[in-house]
Amino acid sequence: MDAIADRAFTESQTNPAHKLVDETPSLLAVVVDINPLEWRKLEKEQSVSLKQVVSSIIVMLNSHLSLNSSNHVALYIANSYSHGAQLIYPRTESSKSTRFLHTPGMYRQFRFIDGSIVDTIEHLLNEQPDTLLQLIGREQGKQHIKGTLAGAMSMALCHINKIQQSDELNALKSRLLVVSISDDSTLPYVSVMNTIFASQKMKISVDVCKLGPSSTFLQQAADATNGVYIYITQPEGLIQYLTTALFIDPMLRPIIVLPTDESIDFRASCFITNKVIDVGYVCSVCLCILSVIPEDEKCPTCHSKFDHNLITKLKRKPKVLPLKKKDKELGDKNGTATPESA
Amino acid sequence: MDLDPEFAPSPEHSEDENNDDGKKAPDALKGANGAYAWEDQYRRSWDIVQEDESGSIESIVSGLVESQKKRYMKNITPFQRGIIRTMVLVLDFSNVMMEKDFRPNRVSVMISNAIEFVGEFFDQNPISQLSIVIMRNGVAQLVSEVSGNPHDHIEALKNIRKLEPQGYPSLQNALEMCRGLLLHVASHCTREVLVIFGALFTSDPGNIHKTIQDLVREKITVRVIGLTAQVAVCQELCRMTNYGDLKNSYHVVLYEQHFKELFMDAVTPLAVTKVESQKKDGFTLVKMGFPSRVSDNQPTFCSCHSKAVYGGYICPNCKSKVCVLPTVCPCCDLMLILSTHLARSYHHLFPLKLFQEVPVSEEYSSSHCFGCQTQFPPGVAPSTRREYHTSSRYRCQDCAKDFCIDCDVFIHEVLHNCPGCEADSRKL
Repeated sequence: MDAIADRAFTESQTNPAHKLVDETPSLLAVVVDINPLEWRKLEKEQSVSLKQVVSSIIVMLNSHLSLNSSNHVALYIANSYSHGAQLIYPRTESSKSTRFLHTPGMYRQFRFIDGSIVDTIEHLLNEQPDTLLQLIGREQGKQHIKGTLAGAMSMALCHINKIQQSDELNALKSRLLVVSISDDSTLPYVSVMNTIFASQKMKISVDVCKLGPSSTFLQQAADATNGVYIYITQPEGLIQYLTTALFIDPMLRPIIVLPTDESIDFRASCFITNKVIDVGYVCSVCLCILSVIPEDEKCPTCHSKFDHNLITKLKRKPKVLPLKKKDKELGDKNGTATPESA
Repeated sequence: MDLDPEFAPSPEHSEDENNDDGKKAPDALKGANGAYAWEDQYRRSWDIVQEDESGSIESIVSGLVESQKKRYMKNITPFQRGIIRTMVLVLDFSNVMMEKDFRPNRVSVMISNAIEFVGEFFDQNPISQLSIVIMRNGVAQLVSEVSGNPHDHIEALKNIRKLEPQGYPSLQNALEMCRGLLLHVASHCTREVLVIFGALFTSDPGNIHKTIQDLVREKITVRVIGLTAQVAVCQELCRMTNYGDLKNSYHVVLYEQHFKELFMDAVTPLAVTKVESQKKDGFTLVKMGFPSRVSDNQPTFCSCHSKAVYGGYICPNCKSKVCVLPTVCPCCDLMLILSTHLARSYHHLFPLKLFQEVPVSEEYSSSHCFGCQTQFPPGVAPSTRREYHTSSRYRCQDCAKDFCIDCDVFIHEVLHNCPGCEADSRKL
């Protein structure tokens, strides 16, 4: 009998890491950025299209479902101009169409997901308003449209919160994957930060799959929540990224060395000049970050007046002591620097 | 009920008691029939439940369940607040804390609440500092020094769990120690003291009124959570140090959950009072560094703890390495933080508007919660409407999206973002 009680058995009892790896069902919530302008840009530059990305995501969702029969998935879109952020799957409408139900040789659930996701996205894309055409034609940078990634993430977090609170599903671990293509300038800073803190508090990892320009906010999101941030350099292999590096179950996270980017730019940007700075001034009232001391000594955001004495103290430049002139001034007084001489 | 105003169970009560003759109940204590809540007839829970037309009690049960959940009802007026805080937490460790009116006893409830408070405090006020002092055997003992690291405080609190409360409390000694701890705090930080006071007396070596005057002079704000009843000296202490605002500064615990709520209220930074903001000749601008993170293959020594660690943050001013943020650079005294730390405090400054409950009606515009996509109950015909029916819908006034109660609470307590407003790309 002693021989049977071998190492594998005893180890699994002593080593807590083994206990953690459990067949717990999990929820995978995916947020896809479908900003039409950005996709157009991306499709021009790189050999990646929305179609490819969506099909890779569908494969990922299906493989997540196939890992455990009680796994769940949810798919949200963000940055659609006509609809903002929206839930794509699971659909809430009772009109669950039956036309996907009979497909020989395919697991019904897969067919159902494929069908409903593709249908809805197609529907959405066809519905993009005519104004979009004008937008594309117009000069870039003039038109500012608020990004709705934070909205989609907020919706996903609400959904996850509901699951965590419900009795029968509370064992469900959740994670969030963001497939983003837009750059940071479209994101409302405060809302994105709020979603990051909320997910940190709920212990939900935010994984980021980044195409297009890199994003500091999403890097910070992944870093704060023990998630993975991957900048996709070869979009044609997207499915590989999605099913390996971005496929780490919440239960495995404490054990696995995450394939994430280590060096993260934590520097802040100035509220006035929008420059990235590493030493700045912070208004003690509204916490806005300034790279220069405003001329009128008033905070540009909250208009509170700053203490004049303090400002002069901050503005004071370091004093440079002049070098002692050696030859003739040796006998002269004592050679110490006075402010006038500096 | 014969109440001495000095020992009334709640501060609101004692004030009203002086004005009225006790016949008319103040709003906070009103029951269903307009008198005091305790004069109400007892309502048996099974009398409330009545079947609706189809013989189902589901809608009523869901209404009841919902009424149990407390909605988030905080004041959301954006105030100017002192975000960079320094607080001393004073815990009563005198022998009255062995009382068993909270289970298992007062002191253990207080410590577990305090541990939770410390976590929450640093979560929401990452650039603030805290210190903990206990009142025991007539003296004040320092439990943890002023620091911005939550783990130190939580460890210290766990250690004093073994300590048995003893002797008399001395409010004066504790306050003098707080004065000492808050003496060197920079002018842009708030100076706060939160006292958990279980006793009804204080045994002081000198004149406590002089200490109170000193606290006022040094602009230290004292808040007190009493565990037994109001005490005149605490009342004076709070009134003097809060510019006469007793209502928000002195509370007496009514029940166990209330204790926790009062504790958690202290997490929100104090609003800057009018008197204060007018008196000042200006607000301060703080110089801060936003360091960049490095990761090394070999461990190197950090300048803050002199420990060999992999990676860390490099001070942009003097290029020395520190291992935790936020901190003050040990070499050049520059405050080092991450921009995310600042962002954590934003929701105190720009609070999210409260959602409005949608009135009960036959038809509603929404069928699903916008946040979690749970289905709402259908409308109720006026004939079958009961007292406990609710619409279960809470509407954001800006985007007119409806949310369920779980999402409402979650959005206002944790997320601080309205998903509806954020999901609309047309609104800026």
